[in-house]
Amino acid sequence: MTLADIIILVCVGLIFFGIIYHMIKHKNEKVCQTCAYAKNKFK
Amino acid sequence: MRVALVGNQNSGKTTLFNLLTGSHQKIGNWPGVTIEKKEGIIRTTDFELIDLPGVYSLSAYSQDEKITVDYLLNEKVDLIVNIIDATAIERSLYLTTQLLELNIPVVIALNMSDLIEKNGIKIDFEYIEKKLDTTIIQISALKKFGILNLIQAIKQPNNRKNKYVHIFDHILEDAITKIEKNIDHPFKRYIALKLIEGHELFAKYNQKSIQEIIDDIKPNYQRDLEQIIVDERYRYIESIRDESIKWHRRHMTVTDKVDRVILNKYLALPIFMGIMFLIYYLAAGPFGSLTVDFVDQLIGKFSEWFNLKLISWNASDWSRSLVIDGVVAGVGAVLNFVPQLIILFIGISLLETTGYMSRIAFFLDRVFQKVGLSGKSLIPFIVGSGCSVPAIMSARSIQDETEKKVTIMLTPFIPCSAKLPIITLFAGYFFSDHSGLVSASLYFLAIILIIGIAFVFKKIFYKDHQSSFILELPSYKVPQVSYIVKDVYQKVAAFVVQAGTIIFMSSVLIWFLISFSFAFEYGVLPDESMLAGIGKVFSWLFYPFLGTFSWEASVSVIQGLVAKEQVISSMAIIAGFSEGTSSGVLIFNASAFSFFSASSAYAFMVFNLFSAPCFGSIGAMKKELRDSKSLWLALGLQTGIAWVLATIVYQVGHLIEVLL
Amino acid sequence: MKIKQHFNIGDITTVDLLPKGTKVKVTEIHTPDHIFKRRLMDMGITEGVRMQIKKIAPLGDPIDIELRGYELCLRKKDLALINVEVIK
Repeated sequence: MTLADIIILVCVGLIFFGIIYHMIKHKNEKVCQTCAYAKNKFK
Repeated sequence: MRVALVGNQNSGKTTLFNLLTGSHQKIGNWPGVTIEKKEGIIRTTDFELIDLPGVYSLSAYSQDEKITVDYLLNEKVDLIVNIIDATAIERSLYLTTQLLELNIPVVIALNMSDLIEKNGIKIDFEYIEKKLDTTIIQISALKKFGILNLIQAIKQPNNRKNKYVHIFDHILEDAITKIEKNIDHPFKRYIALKLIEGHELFAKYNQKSIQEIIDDIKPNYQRDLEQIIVDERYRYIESIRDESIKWHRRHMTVTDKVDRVILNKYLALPIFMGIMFLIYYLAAGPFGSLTVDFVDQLIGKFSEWFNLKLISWNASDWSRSLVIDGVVAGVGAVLNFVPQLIILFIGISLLETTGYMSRIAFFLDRVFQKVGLSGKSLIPFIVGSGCSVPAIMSARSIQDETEKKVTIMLTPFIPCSAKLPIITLFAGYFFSDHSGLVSASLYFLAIILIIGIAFVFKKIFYKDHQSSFILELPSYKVPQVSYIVKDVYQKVAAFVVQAGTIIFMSSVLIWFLISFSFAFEYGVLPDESMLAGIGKVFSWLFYPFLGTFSWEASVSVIQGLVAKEQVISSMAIIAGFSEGTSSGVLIFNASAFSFFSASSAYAFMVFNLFSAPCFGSIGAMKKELRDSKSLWLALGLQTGIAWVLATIVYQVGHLIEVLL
Repeated sequence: MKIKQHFNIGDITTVDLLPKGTKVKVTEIHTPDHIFKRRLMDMGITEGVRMQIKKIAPLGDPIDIELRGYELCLRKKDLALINVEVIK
């Protein structure tokens, strides 16, 4: 394992688990927040 | 201090809410229902602002009204901001007079006030302010003026106190006064009126003495008390109107003139088809494909450059592969389609903001009624070509439960923006000269399917179902460029974020599964990888419309459940592996996918387009349908039909190919 | 192609049978569903209100009527439940 390997692994790992963490933390918020504004549009 | 924002639907309430709260918003749900609850903090203050559902009255019959009434009666609200559409003042005041009776201070935000002069209307604001004992602030949420004035008025501690102004005739007023004495609740007047109207929800406040008072006054009137109350409100409003609102010229507004053409008996349909065709042709046709190729080349070059860089940095084979063949290939494959999406979203946004969408609902209602849907169903279908999630939610505007349910179940059939990459890729390669036509044919197929299934539903399940329909045609508006830019940006950003997160993760996972065998050996042939092992188990499912056992294609299709874009990412990664290189991924030249013929390509598209949608859409369906039976029915229906149709397409197409 | 009957001022009929441009006054609402009737009233359709038929959808249905300074679309079968008197 070279240094570059380790860096790559760490980066990918961080992003990967970062996303999972973010998803679990915001589990209760509605899906697709960014589209949220559209929900009220056509009432 | 707690402020409630109340107003009609379509009055610009949401826009105003966003302007007042900026980014300080929290979105959730009203307990027990799927209606959205928005709360925020008003800018430059620490006042709480709550956005109550759009209502036309406080009659407390519909879900929206119940929530609004319940909130106003039971939560301590210090101020109501009543947003009113200046082009429909008379109708809007109907709600206002009801709000004033709650003895909560009211500030009126008169929205679209820039249109008053344009439409030749003259309003004596002072007169109205005096009559209603409230403050009127003129604003234009769209043009963003008057907002600071409004916030100032909200902050003003001595807003006119709304000393109640009597609206009804003296017989009723006497009765109300007497009834109020027997009611133990701060909002005596509102409840007294509800009791006189005979509203069941408030029956618990009734007593024999109250009922006697009500029965006593009944003989004085020819119609039922509920009607009388409504009548007298309007009569009061009319008297205010007569004194303060003057129409200068009874001329045809621009909207009317435009509608004469757009809703003309003979021109309406051709115009509609022309517009829709134009949007999709630009997005999914030859022009759209060009943009895809362009971005693809860019990413290809980046990939090569980065590959070399990684080698020079001494990265091992496997970590380099993870980055280039996994992440870049996967995420890149999807980013290709961003320009297309921009075009599509601009089109949809224009339809929405100009007001044309309502016209479509208006003139297609007749057709949709025949299949048990409403003209309003069209809105989710059109929005669905962008993304199914907001589309499914916009189905809330359909009043009828059955029509709403069927619409929701059918919305995922419309090819959403995530499915566009699949269409573009396959149509572009297998039908290059006719890619535009093929793409269009898929949309038409979707529409035919929707109409057909709705019709079958109606015949089998909802034979005698009757439904009602009320729709407002807003005036045409010239869309603001800044609004469209923001709108499109948000939607595209959502797509990119999706790519950056879910697809990133899936790509990494796929890379892992395809690079390693079950014994965790690295660098095995794709056919011996874990992914292949998994895929082979399912490949028999897809044989009927692929014409061969392809674990590569099977695995990609299954990933469509996570996100439809993932199908392409997956194919890109797998192709890269079976090719040995990863630059300029030529998916169909790769041995993994070279089996595809025109017919299996079309069949593959059909299956992916119509089968169960991504998790996001499934989540939205679950929330809006509210019962799991409908949800499973919907998913089963979608996937089942997709499979059958794809098989038919392939078998027939294959037969033709063989015969030719 | 249905030919619309010719109506005179003062006739009592329903909106779905009238041509574009006609002005009417509502005389009676009799929807079987009380909640729908309430909704119509909340939208401004009360007995005595004046309306004008502004637009008819290309396929004949729904119909866009103007009342109280704004426009509203209703389906023919719902309008058939509202009795009106022809004014112009």
